[in-house]
Parts: sequence; structure tokens; C-alpha cells
Amino acid sequence: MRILEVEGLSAWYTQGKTRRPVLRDVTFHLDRGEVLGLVGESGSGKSTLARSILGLHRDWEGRVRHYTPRPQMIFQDPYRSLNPAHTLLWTLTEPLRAAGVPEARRRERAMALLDRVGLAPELARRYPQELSGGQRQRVAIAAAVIARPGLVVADEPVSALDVTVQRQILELLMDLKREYGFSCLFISHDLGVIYQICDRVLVMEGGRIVEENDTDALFAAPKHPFTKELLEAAE
Amino acid sequence: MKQRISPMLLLGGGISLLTVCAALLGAFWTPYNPTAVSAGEKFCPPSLVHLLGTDNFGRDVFSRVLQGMGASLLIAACVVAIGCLLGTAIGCLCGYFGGPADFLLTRLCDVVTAFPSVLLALVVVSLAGRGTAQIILALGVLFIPSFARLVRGEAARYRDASFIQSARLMGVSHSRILLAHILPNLRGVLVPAIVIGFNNAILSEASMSFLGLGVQPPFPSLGSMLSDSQTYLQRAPWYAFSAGAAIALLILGFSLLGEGLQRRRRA
Repeated sequence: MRILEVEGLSAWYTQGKTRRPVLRDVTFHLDRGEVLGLVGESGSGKSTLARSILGLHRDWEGRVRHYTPRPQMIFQDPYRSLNPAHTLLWTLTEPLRAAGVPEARRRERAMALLDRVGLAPELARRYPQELSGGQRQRVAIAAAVIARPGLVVADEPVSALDVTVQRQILELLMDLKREYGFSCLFISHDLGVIYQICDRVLVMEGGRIVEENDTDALFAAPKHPFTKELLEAAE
Repeated sequence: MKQRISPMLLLGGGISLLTVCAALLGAFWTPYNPTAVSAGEKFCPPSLVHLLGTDNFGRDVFSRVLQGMGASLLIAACVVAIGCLLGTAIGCLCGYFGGPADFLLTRLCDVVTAFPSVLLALVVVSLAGRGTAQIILALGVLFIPSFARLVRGEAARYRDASFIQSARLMGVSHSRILLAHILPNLRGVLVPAIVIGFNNAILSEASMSFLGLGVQPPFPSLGSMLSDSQTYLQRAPWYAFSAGAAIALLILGFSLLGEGLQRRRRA
């Protein structure tokens, strides 16, 4: 069962009158319940791919189909992904409001999830500025999954965090994935993180997908020279 | 995260509060009828009977100052309300949506800014006649661009913020994104801008009335009092002094308040 199909996706940025291509003929798919890793160096087009799939980047052509309403995104920088003018409770109830959940049930669901992501109930009245990076990312993840999306795109969700916090956040993301049953496109430049959580991996270089394989197979026997290079660099 | 209140903010707030209270008092009670002419009491110097003396018609200057301050504050409030509401609306829409409408409206704001304010006021007055409503309209329009420009920059900055993109992915409507997601973030820039705008509006209204384009006689206005008092500067210096000091006090209070708020925001 597919949840996302991307075929022949090319994307570009426009600088003045010239088009600077970022993605070239990208084709892949994501199955229901799968965690698909997307690895590559910075500037290889990973984020543009994520943003194009979700419609946040508009300059692209090709075919993108997601078989789920309202896919969500978790952003890299937890300092800019939460609205500084609102409390955490507001941030967590707003997706429910947008999804048409009746007002009476929003608060209850938000408080339950706040507890589930390991934050004390008193934090519900706090503003994001009063939280640590790890706490913010917990809230951002909670806000992304609270309305039960079928697909969550996570763009380097832990690379701005300390190593110890990284592990906790990854565990949380995977636990929530099991409980909420969403599929995940997980973007990272860190192969260690990819190895920990992904079922399958896409390797991206210069806007193209150069290798695709199951995680174990890819790490055991990389085929493309660029993948080998990445693996060697990570050791 | 509590910030200490700076002396500037305290002084500005104190003076502003004092002037607003005086104006409120003047709206409900004045020692004398501010428009009552009394031929026998022309040019009385300040005394316990007339605190700030009387003018060339024997009217109580203190009563006129109280009511004039009220008129100034009321007009300034209306002007800033027009400028802030329309400017914020235009700025939000331009900054958030961008595109050709943004380009056009931004240019239009530049044109209005380039227009000398007195000239625009003269145009409005020649089309619609003299009076308080006309001056509010003319100044209100003039105040739109500064708010529009400020808000446009902020809205454009927030448009690409991650939390706004998240909201879009959630399916939140554009109007709700603007009103509930972006607007609350503008409070920090809007509050000082409103106070500073208020200050400029008081000054503009006083200049318009000084030129005889604003509040019409016999109703008191600080600008027209200042203008009238020039003729009697030798015989009744207290008249000019009272009107001038009232304007200075209003401006001082609100500019200290505005500046204090802005520094607090930057800190």
C-alpha cells in the first residue's frame, strides 16, 4: 500500500531570470507504515524535495501523489518551528481545530499528548521561548502528529540537538509512529541516525537519487561510489 | 523574563497619564465655560480666579486648555486608529501574499509619503470644507503608509517561518493564519509605533489647527489658541505660554513613552 508516490520530480530555484536546478528526475515511493530515510550532504536537495512534496516549494514539475490528507512536517530548527506568540496548549490545539475536532475534546487530547511526549502539564501555559531545544522539539513533534496525519516528513529533526537529547527524541518519534501509525520520510545527513530508525534508505547526490535499498543491505553492501564515500566518512 | 521599567518609560507614562486625566476632566468639567465670552474680563493675568488668566475675549484659558487637550487627544486617537487599522491590514496582506498587488500598494504608500502633509490637508479641506472630521480623514490617510510599511516587513518575515508553514500544512485558512498566527506576533512592533504615531498625530493636528484648518472656532484647540495668542504676545504672554506648554507636555509625555517602549523591545 503506497502512501506517497513521486515520479520524475524536478525542482529549481529562480534567481533573477535564471533557473538553478536543485532536483533532477527524482522517483521514489513510500509505503504505509514505513520509515524511509533520505540521506545526502547539505545542499544536495533533501529539504527542497521535502518542501516540494508538501507543496511548500512551488517551482517543480513531475508527479507527486500522496494518499493521505494533510501530511505534516517537523522542521530542523526547534527555535523557529513554534509560534512565539502562543502558549503550548494553543500550539497543540490549533491542528485539532484545523482538522475539525470539536472544541470540547481538543484540550483533553492536547494535554494527553503533552504528557505522552514527556512534558509536565504545567508547561501547557508556557511559551516556546521558556523551553529548551529538546523540549521544543517534543512539542513540535506532538503538534505534527496530534491530528493523526498519515505521513510525517521530518527534516533533520535532531541535528540541532545535543547527542543525548537526539536519542530521546528519536525514540519518542519512533514510539509515536508505532502508536499513531504514520509513515515517515526521515531526512538526515547523519548515517548513524538513519541506520537506527529507517527501514529503507534513499541516497541523494547533486539533486539525484543515486542509490536506494533496504537499510541493512545498504549498510552491508553499498553499490554506488557516493554511498561508499558517505559510509567511509561516517566510520 | 520580567523587565525593569526604565525611568524614561516611567516619566513618559506619568506625564501621559496626567495629560489624559486632565483632558478627561476637561470633557466633563471645566472651571468656566470655555466658550463663554466676558467683555469685562479681557486679558486678566493668571490669578486664583483664573488659573491661567483669560484671553482677548475674556474666556478662561485654563478651561480652554483642558478642552483643547481633549480635542487634541481625541483627534490624534482617531487619526492613529485609521492609520493603524488600515495600515496593518494593507501591510499584512502585502507582506503575506506578495505579488503585483503588493508592488502596487507599496508604490502607492511611497507616493502618499512623498506628499507634503499640509498640501494633502489643503486638498481635503478645499474638497470637503474645514472641520474636525475632514482633518481626521486627511491625517488618517497620511498615517497609513508608516504602519503599512512596518507591518509589511514583519508579515513578509513571518510568511516563510517554519511555524507558519506548519499552519499551512495543517490546513489553516489564510485569514486565520494572518489574524491568529501572525498578528499576535506583531504586538511588539505595533505598540511603540502606535504611541509614536499618536505623538506625531498630536503635533500634526496642532499644526493644522494653527493654520486654521482643524477644529473651528469658537471650540478650543491648542493649535488655534497658539495661533491667536501670537497677536497678544506682549499683552498676554500667559495665553501663548499656556497653549504652548500644553502641546509640549502632550508631546513630551507620549514621545518618552514611545521611545521607552521601543528601547524596551530592543533590549
